[in-house]
Amino acid sequence: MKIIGAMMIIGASAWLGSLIANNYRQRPRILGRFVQAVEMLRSLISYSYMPLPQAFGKVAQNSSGFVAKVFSSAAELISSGQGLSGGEAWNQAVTYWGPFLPLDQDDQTLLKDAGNALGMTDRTDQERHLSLALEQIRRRIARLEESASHTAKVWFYLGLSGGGILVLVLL
Amino acid sequence: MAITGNGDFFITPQGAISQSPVHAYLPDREDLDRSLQLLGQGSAYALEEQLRSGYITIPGGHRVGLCGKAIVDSGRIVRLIDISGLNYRLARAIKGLADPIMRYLVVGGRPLHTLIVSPPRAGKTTLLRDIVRQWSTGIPKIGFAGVKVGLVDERSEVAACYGGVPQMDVGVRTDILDSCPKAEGILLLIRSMSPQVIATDELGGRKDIEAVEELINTGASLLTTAHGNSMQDLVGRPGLARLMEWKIFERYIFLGRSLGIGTVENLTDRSLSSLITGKLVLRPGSEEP
Repeated sequence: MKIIGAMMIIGASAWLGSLIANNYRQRPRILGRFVQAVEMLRSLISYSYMPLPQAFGKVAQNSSGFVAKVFSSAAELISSGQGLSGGEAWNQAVTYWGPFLPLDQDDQTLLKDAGNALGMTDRTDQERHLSLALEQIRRRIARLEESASHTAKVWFYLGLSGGGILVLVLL
Repeated sequence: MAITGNGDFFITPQGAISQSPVHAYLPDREDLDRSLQLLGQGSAYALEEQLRSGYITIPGGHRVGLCGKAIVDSGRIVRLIDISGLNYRLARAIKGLADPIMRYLVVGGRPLHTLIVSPPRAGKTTLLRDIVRQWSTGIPKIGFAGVKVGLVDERSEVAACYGGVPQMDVGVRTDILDSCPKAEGILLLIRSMSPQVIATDELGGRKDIEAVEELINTGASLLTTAHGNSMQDLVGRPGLARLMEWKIFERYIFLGRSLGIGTVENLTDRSLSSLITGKLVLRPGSEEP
């Protein structure tokens, strides 16, 4: 009975550790998907002069998961008749979906900043702003990828050994 | 403030109508900014060209004129900033407006080269739109089957395209080049769409006239307009004077407001002989008396 209990505790804490570890691996992946989506948005603005409600919607259609949800919400907000600017709609969409994303506060702030100037300026300036934002997100991804595998391993083994220590204490 | 055919009105903060400006709601900067965001769908870049031109076309073909501070570079307005006034102008298409004169504008199944001469606010664009629609769709009453019309709508006034979709009926065989400079538009349509008629508003520049020369050589007909009250007004403009000298226009429609908006003061052939007796007020479905 004790052995079964000990195995359950170790299993549960290892699972918890791997959950946190998985979150670390997810962050660069989801940011990478945002990069693809923002690149598409930049093209729609630069080459098609597509207004933001349609551009947000088109990106949402071509994305999946939470990335699609953020863009879809931004499209709805900007078309809601409240007179929101592109930046305001984007900010509200990221704020709403942020807690559901495997991103920390800094990542979310980075995403919000990426859309601050959306729709406020001419095409050339929009392109410049989005290119700058993309560069910053890519830099964040590179940093996360560097540390993700190491940090993920640390969390997994921390969970496993934490469970072991707990078992020893209880025995 | 609302300017209507029945006088000017003011809107109170409660949304009621008042005759006195004292009770009017005064929009602030926030109101104007929000209105602009709504008009431009939060996408200033998509309105670059329209902001330069000083108006925005909205669904329904209505137009919003803008006033503010102009940023000028090399003598050209780059954009308007600090928008201080919005003028909503409601567009109105009057189908059948041109009915009383259509039989003068087609001979032997061919639409004639036609120039509409009109002072501002006499119905010039509305008349142009209806002639385009009728030439394009056909006029069963005179046994005219309809022809392919190419419309160069530089100021988005005739078809009033919004998001690429014409908000006004300009006929079933009409190809529209929206927001396109006239000269380039005429040549592009000739090359790509083989139109039998090219229609455009307010012709006059040197390049426009060169494009018209090209157009005449293809055998297509030209339908266009010019600001003015009389033939004398046109002679002073080198481009138009040249076209008139060549006697290109086979019909001249002189619009005015002597009997109300849409009064045909005269309708002549290329030698300026009147084809109608007296004046004619254009109304849908009406016939020449």
